[in-house]
Amino acid sequence: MSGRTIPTPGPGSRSSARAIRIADVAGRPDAKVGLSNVTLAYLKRRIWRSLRKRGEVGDPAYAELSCGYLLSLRSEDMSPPVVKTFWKRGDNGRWSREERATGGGLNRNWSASQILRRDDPLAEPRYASLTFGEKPSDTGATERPEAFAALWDARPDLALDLAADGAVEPVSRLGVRVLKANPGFLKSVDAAALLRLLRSVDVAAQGLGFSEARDRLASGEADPALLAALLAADFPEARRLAVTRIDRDPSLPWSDAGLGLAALTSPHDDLSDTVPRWAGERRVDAVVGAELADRLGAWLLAIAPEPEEATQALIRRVRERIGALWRDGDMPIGHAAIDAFAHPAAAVVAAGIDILALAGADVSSVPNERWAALLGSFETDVQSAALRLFGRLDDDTLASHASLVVAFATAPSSELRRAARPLVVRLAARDPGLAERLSRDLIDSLFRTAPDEAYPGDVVALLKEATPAQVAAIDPGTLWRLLQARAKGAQLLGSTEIQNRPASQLSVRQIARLGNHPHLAARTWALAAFRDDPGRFQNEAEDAVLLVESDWDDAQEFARSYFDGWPEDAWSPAALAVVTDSVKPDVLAFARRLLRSRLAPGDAAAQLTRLLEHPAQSMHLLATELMTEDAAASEEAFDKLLPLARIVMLQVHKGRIAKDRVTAFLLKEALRDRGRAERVAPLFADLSIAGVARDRAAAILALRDIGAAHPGIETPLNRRAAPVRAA
Amino acid sequence: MNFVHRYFGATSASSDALSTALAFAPDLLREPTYFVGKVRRHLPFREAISALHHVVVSDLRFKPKDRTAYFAWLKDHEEQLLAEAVAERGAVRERIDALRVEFADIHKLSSEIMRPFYGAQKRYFDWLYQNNRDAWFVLDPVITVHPDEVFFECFSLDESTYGRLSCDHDVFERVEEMACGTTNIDYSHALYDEFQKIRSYRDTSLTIEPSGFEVQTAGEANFREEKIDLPDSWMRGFLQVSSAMAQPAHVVDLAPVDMHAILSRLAAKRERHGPRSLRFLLEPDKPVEVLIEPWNDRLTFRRSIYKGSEPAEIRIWGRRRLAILERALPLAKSVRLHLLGSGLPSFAVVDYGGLRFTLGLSGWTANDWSRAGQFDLLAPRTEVDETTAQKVFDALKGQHFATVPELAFETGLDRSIVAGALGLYVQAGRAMYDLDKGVYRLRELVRDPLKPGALRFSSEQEEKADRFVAARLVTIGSVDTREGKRVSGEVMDDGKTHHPRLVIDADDRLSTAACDCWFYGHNKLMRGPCEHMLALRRLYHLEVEGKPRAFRAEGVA
Repeated sequence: MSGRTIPTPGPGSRSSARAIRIADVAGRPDAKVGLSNVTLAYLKRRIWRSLRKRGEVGDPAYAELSCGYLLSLRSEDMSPPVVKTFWKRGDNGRWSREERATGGGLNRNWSASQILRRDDPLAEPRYASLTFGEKPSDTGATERPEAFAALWDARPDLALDLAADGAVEPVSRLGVRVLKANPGFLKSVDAAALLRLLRSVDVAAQGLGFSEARDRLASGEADPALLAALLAADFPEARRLAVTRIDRDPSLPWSDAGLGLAALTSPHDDLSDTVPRWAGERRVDAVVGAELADRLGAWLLAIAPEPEEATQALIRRVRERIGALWRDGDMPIGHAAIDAFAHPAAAVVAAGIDILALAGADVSSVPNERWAALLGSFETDVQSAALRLFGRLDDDTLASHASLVVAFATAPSSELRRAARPLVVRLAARDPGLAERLSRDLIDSLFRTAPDEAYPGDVVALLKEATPAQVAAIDPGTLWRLLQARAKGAQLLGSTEIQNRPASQLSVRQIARLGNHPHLAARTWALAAFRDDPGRFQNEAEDAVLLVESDWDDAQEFARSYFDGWPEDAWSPAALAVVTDSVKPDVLAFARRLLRSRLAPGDAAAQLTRLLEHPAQSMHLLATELMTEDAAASEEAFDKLLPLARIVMLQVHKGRIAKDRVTAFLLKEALRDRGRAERVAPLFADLSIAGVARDRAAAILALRDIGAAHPGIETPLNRRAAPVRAA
Repeated sequence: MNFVHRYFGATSASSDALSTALAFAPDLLREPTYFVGKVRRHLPFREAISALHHVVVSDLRFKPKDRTAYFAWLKDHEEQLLAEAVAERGAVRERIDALRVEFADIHKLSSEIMRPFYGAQKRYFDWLYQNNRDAWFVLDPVITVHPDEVFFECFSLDESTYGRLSCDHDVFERVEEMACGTTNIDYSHALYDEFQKIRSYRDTSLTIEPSGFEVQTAGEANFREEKIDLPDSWMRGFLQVSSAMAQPAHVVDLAPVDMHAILSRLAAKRERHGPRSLRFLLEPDKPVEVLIEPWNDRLTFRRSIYKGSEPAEIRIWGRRRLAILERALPLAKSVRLHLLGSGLPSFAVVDYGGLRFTLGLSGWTANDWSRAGQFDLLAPRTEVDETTAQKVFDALKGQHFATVPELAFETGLDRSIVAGALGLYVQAGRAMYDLDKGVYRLRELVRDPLKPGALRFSSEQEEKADRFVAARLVTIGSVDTREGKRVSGEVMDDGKTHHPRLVIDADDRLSTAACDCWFYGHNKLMRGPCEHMLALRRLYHLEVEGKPRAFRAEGVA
């Protein structure tokens, strides 16, 4: 019975085989096999035999048939290698392991392996299984392992096909070997052939094409077709080579229509800046320009009816590039450009509209219905191109469509807004009333949530270009509202416009608050105001020091160094209080330093009463440093001290130093003055049952001393006589 | 559960040399509620509202150590480690050593190159932590304005801690505009920093902005809608704690320094094993004693005498949450504890005189099925028909707050009926019981009233267990207390008797359980306990663990 054995996956890395009888599956629609093992082996041997016979007699058809066969192979025909470990005895007699990869590539394809590796001393044909294996590595390699190398040498054109079009690496490598062995042929091929090599899937073939192109350019040749081929190559080294060559010749790339088209239509990102630079700096003459415009038109018409996103993006780039190249409005216009209007793809239609504009066409004759169709298109590309064309109308005609143009200025699409901007600028320059209304409406819109990320930037740019006088006339109150608004657009306009205003327009407090503005420009302006007029800020120190509350590192650093430089007399207690009232650790550290260095003795009492109310533990410690008899002399200060003392003493496992200082101070005051003792005693009475032994002991001893100093003051202590012990 | 809030503007807080202004933006989708007043008692207000903030951000859930960096390192070095393990000596080892040196050099170079990036990344995450903490809140706190007081309520992220700050109107120097009602406020973490700037020498104004209700124009930039997806478990936890406030409790009066002693002792040590409860030992007319497990440290508060009529021993867990009171204690006049029972919610009311901060703790920090006690909190106490209940609610609505006798007088209904109806509304989040003043208050927790009983059960098994217990189909067979507590019993389910067995550890947690039902047989405990285990657990808690309830101190202001 004839059958076929097919491999099946097994557990782990093992695989097993399953036998199928051909008779069982013959004729079934779901049959996975059709030939028996014997038949399959026969055909394999037969194919190679047919080729081998031709090769042995030197028939040139061998190369053609082999080429056709090899070009039909795909990556699915390759098999992964199996790595096996073999024991090998070295020269020193010791055995070591050697890993060999077997079974990979086209080794299971008998004919392909014969074609590619029959003369390879490392290859081991296995006639039983009709596969190729690997021989040990020390048997040496050869440069031309393929069968009948001479027949290949006689047909280097076929080698070019293999190298350029081979879908798998072993096939294209055969082509590369043959081409390398026939350098003269490679030198004679045209640029199109080199482009094929540059576009090969095989790196070696790409490299071969690149080397040849480089050698040609180095010899002084500047074949535009070759440069175009290099620009179109898929790897950046080739494109860089072309760019370098083109940069050296001011007439390129626009002296050749083919090269010009290749540049204009290059989709590669690394050319996105280079081509516009060429377009801006180099001119195209009329003759070449006409041919270039025709070819461009043909290229546009060849675009698919529904182009992919990448193609649409490329068309937009092309539009920008031709806009730079024919910025004087002298682009030749051909039939293809007209036909672009009828193309189903909106991107192509938009390109056609751009070409009309660049050709300096008379747009005044375009009927209104046509404008309505173009400007009312559902496609943003078409609308934006139509807007640019619309901009070629004279001012009077444009003014009659003012409301339409202004509507585009606030359209949902950033591209449309940008396209409409120059038109709005013209309208506003012509009609001050429109400028006034427009600025009011746009500024109001900035206070609302922006419809997209680019809206604030677009509207602010429009305001600055179209209504500069109205923006400059924004009153300080509105400017402050803009700066303080949550909406990003309002903040942007505010921080942009504040750069043009003198610091006198805002109060010291407002300027200090600007130090916390999310826009760097606003903060920079505020800090410059501090620098430029220090006297003003020192005179209003309480408001100026609000700058320390900024959340931004730049403003904080500035504030610390700025206020460090203030003289002592600038620091009023109220100004110190603003700094000390902060909750930021950095600012508090700064505040403590200020207090220790700047606090006048006479102000200690005032500062103490303020510090006593600070919730931060670090400030409690500072407050205890300032706690002196003089500072707490007033009853007001002492009244405020008691709640602080309670807060400090009832901290849980924190503030030991502050606790000890407070205890010592209160005890001292209590012993000195009966009135104070009466007010302090309840606190010590509470602490006499505290959970921490140290606090409890200190409180009990304090109550004992108070009781002794001021008899009559109630304490929770009960004195018991010590027991008398017999001697 | 999805909720939508609409705010005009944003809550803001600003301070300068002369004043601090706190302006809260109310939810405009609710009935107009606003308040404008100037704070008179600055420091107590500051301390109390700071403590409330700590409740809002409290999250004591277990967070496993982040070992991703270790696993990434292990993966990178896996081959090296394996090679070292199997490498032969001699040449291979030399090669490994050489490669290791090379790898170390490369790693060092890589670290140098990447240091600015990692530093910037860390700074960004630190900034995010500092500046985006608002993402931590589940539901913005609610403010209720009543004719006698203004109060704030909130519930923590970990669903275990409730906070309430109530301010009598005389806490404010001047009260201007006011409209009674309940609203959500747009709360943000930045407010906490501004709270710290409250001083007695600065005017501090508290405003729940009325201006938003006057602006009718839609599309204004300052209108903001926020949609919140609230977990059912969070809402259930809130309602359970809120419902517990209306239950009878043992009332314990402590001095602030007594609570300070408890917190000091807890802060001084860290327990490594259970049990982890605070055990309150209450004997009538004797000083309150607290036993801190597992060290059995005994604290006796000689100046705090228990005034209850019956002795009680009550254990509470999740005691670390009490650390929230650290901030609130120093300026307090007194602390009153309301203890419902072991494993049940407890409340600490810190009184400043005119200002009161209430900290409510659920039975345990992790409010999951392994603990009993929460199941009955949302159970209806008395059967009340809808019309009668609505009558009681309308009466309450008319006055905003009232006692049970007052409402019984106004409606002409029996007090037990009134209490039962009010209990239903408390469980639905439409009213709350004020522990300070002993009154029921109208308080709509959410804009659209919840259906009573909608959140009572967290699972189908809980609901079934409730039916078993209510129908008396559960019996306790035996209790073995030799090693922990081993409880076995019988549950009659659809004509078949099941035999659940429970093991309860020293922390009263259900450490393991078994049953002969289908649910346990297929899922073991991976989907939680079966209804038979839950029913037995509930019955055991009710009949064996539960302590007799003490009287509730009524009429205390």
